[in-house]
Amino acid sequence: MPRKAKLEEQISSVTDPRDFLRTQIPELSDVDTLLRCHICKGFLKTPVLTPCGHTFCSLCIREYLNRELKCPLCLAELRESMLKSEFMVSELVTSYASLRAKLLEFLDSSKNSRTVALTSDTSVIEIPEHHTKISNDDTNDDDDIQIIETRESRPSKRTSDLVLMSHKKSRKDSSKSGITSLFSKTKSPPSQQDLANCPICGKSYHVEHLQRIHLDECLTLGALDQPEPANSSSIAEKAPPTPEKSSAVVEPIAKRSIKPSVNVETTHYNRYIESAQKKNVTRLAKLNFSSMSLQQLKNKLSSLKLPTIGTRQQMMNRYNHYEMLWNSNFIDSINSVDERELRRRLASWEASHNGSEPIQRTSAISKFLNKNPTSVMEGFKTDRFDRKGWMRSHQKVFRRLMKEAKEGLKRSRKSRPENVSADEAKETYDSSLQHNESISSETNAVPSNQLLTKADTFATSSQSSTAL
Amino acid sequence: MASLPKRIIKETERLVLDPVPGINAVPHEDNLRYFQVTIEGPQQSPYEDGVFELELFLPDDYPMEAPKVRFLTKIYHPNIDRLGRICLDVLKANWSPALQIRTVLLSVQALLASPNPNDPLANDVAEDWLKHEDEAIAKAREWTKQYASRK
Repeated sequence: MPRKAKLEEQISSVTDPRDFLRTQIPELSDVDTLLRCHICKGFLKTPVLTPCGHTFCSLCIREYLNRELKCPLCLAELRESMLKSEFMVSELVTSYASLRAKLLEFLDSSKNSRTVALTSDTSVIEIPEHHTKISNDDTNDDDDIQIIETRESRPSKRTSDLVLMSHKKSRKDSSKSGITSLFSKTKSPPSQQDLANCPICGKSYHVEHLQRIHLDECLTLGALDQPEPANSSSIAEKAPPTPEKSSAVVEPIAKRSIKPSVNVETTHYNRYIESAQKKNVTRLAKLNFSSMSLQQLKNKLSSLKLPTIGTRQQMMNRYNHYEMLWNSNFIDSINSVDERELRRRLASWEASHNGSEPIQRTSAISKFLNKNPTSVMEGFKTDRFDRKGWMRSHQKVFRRLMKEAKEGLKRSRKSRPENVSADEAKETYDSSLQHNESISSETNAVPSNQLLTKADTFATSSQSSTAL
Repeated sequence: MASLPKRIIKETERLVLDPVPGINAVPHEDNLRYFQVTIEGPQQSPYEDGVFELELFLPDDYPMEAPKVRFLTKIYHPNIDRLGRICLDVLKANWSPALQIRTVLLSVQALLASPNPNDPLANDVAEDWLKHEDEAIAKAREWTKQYASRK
């Protein structure tokens, strides 16, 4: 099940404020929550402040303002030009995010060392895995310091490692069945063999994670994260491998956490201080597409060195997204990347969002949709969609669907006598927009996955595009 | 967008690990944007003792766009029509990306506790509700008994 594996990989990369609830200072979950964006729920990336006093990621809020001109939190009126960047919060968040893993580990493992007796239900199967880890540790020293540092508990050395790690694991391993179990925080540490170093930031990750997710993130966020990994690796080299055995569980952590924190703080602090010197890049303006000819639009795009292929709508989307990336990057961000990088981001966005959907549909409705140009489907999800026109032009299909549904009804009636009445099927016809959802689930005859198939094809298409 | 956005993963994790009392939402095996939801009828409402099934779908543009929620269980309610569609502001005009699955489902539960016949979706039900409230409530109770599975 590659999909499931991939999902597991994704889930393990998601952090949550409640990670702190099981540590010594559960109140930290509040801090963790505050530093997150209300739209994407991740740590604030290039935070911007609204006049109503709320903070969001620059890209998140700009994307939302392309649809609605109000603050997501208080619904007050809001326009893009009102957004102000918040360098202070930005550095605060990046600084915190880089410390978070250490903080969590410190608070967690020190708790572990005190409550060893309570969590001593180590299972037999897990131990061999850790043995290999430790033996690896012995053979090639330098590499492994890094690996352990970034992935798991670095301070735990040699023999003490075994006790600590197996406790850690057994605590997390309470597995449930089914899909929900994926979400219950079973983060099994990846086996050593599958780890590989990222060519960009030098950290080691699980191979699959590296290829699928991390490389992309690293390229995208490279500029933001650069100072941090450089620091931590140099620290790793400086810190001598502690020769102490079992007594050294807590001590090295304390040493380590003092040293780098000074380092990191100064970088973020310096960046904040220097942030006042602003580069002279002008904001990209919103365009009024309706008054532009196709040629003008193309000229505009090529003046920004953007591709001019695709339909008019695709070019408009391209400009809008680029404008968002541009303004977020050059107006809001402290350390901007260059235009080439922006164009690369735009291209990766287009691959999953702005293409003509690769189509592989099977149902009657979808076949029918295939024959029609995608422009018909524009606004399908919004209120602007012309429902009556749609109904008139596709009466035939609805008739056939009704017939199918009625036949399905007859069949299901045999098994379940008091199901839905026929006039309800008729009503389905009236509510043409909802046709595939309602027919399918009312009668149980047509499988209720038409909605799903579409989302599925989308998911697979975007998967393949990320591979590029 | 590498398949599922982190936000959806995060929300699902929270829903599974820390569920809202009376509300249960489970993602579908094959499509993690599709949730099977059950909501218990609120106490002291005509729907108490009933367990209502709903479906919830997160569109591609979620959280920029509201989730799509629909009742699968038949229910007698002025703001829910017989196809299960729900008339609720946070699902339409008042959606904001700061809201989430959890808050939406809580709003649906609140709608069960306080039907609003002045802003109807099912006109016949709303008329009944305005003219003969007692009868309408009795009918809602009866439908709950008949269609919503008992706890």
